[in-house]
Amino acid sequence: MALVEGNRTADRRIPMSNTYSFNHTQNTGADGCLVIIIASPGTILVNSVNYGGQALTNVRQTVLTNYSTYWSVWRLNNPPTGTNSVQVNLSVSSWNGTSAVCYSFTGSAGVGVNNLTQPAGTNQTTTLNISNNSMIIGACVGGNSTNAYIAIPQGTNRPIDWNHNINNWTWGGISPSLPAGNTTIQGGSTSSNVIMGVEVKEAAIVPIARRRIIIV
Amino acid sequence: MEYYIVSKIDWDNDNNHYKCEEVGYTTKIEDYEFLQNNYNNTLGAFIENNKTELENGTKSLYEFFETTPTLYACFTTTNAIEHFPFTEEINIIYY
Repeated sequence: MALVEGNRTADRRIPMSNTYSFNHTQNTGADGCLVIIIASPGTILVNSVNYGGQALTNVRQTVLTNYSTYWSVWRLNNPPTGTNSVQVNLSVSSWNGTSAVCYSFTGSAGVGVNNLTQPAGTNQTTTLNISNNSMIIGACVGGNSTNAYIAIPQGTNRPIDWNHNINNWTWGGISPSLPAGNTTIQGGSTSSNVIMGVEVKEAAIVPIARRRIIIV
Repeated sequence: MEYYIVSKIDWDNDNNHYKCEEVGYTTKIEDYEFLQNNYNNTLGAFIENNKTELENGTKSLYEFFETTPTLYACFTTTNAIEHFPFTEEINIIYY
């Protein structure tokens, strides 16, 4: 079954608490997957994320030393469909702008490889060795987002799906399905930045079993 | 199409905590920008000016809601609202 990008929701707010929530709609279809990337300033950790009451699995968590930001990736295979609440639970109350972006998929085998390049540099790149027909979510955190871009693969700019002020800035986008192999992505602005890529894999195509005719 | 979700923020006296509820949406970027600016100039400014005191608990958000009981803001954007609990686009009145 082909991997299909579904609905997208981006949220930026000052939580004013140690938990907050917003709605997101998961598409109907087989092999659903929900991926959420959260950028939280300071030393505030994301303890857990729930969607429709189900806990997401943490895929990656990294402290960005250049930007004093906690960057985490979460996924949920076969999430409940329809509109449900995304609940973000932080280690302490946060009074800084916090970014969360949600991507829904169908026909997905879940999250594959991910890679992050830091410390910060200008027009930063990172490389992922992906499976055939995977999509890549590319995300940046940088000092500003003036002329921000995300290129997946390098040389092919994609629409900026979110662009949030989190004391610093975070932005990113997604590719369509790509061929297998090492894929370098690039992002930048007029300032320096770090970059992360997250692979979303296509569900395996199960061949129809041959029928056997047994003559007795 | 991008939908900008409009949230209503006020003070919940029963729980002694702020309350944030999604109440509708707009598709107009100028409405989104108006609500963003309004938030930045009011509650956003209060938080920025009192961040240390809010973090260490010597000041409460209630001080803000004493003078501004209700505030509307846009935190969330999405490309799908078909199943959201509200169905009509909000008409933003500038003031």
